[in-house]
Amino acid sequence: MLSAKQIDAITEIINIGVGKGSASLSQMIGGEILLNVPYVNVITFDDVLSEIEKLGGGDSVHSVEMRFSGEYEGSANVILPGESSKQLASLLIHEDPDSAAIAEMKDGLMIEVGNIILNAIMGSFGNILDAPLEYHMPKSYQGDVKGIYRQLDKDRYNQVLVCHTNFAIRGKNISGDILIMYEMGSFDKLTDVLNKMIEG
Amino acid sequence: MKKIIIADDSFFQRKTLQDILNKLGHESEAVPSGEALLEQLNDSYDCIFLDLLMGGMSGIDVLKELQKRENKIPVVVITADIQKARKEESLELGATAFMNKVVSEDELVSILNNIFK
Repeated sequence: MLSAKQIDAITEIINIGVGKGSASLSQMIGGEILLNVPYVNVITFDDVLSEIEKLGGGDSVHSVEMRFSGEYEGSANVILPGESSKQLASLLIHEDPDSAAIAEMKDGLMIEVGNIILNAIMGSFGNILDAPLEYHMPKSYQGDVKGIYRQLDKDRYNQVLVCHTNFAIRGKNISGDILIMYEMGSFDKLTDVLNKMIEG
Repeated sequence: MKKIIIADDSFFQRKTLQDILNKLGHESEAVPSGEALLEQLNDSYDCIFLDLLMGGMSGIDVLKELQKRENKIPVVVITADIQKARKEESLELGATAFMNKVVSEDELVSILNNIFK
């Protein structure tokens, strides 16, 4: 379990990264991003599915996963309901959401959005904890929200530290979730570093 | 007017950068990979804009290759990776400047003014 102080510290680190990521997204679309305070918890891998099922989108989501390794290892994801991803792609390239251009380019656009948001979050994390991370190429997924769980490498995870927040774009029917999972080995290192930060 | 080549695997980023460069009166070409950049690169270019996280050759791989070739063309790394370590690594490998996505027109003008002053 994490102490209240540890949760507060990691929430703040994630908050800083989400703030940077949303500033970049805001610049890309020329609109205001609304954020919620991240939720941080330690759960078993068996509970990850129910965590994922809480996300919006149901049977139609468009997600981008970026795995990271180095001092800390895990998976960072941006997950949008399918309709939101179409609307967001439309805002980015100024094409009708139902046009052939959006159908063709939506995947690449979502990968770039995911890349920018997740780099901001994980980069802030790496910078603050002085632990450089290596990023794997972002991968996109479209389908049932449970498919995100099915894609996870289950052997890598035991206990999982999940950080979850969501965002929306003011005045648009666009929202999304950010879900970061750290695997157990990373979790031990992370708590050590958090304790050092808290103790000053 | 300068001639600038952009290597980025994102169509959106290539288009965004080309739109800004065109607006500033520069000539630009764009390629979707590090391999394509190295194949197309010649002395006619005044500057290279290079993404880091690309499939195939990464931007870091490209910087290493450019070092081997004793490249003299300024390289501006433009990446979503905001880590200090990545910036240091890029500059050590010969990048002239390092910018984080999303790049604004003002930032781009400032960087190009510094390079071509």
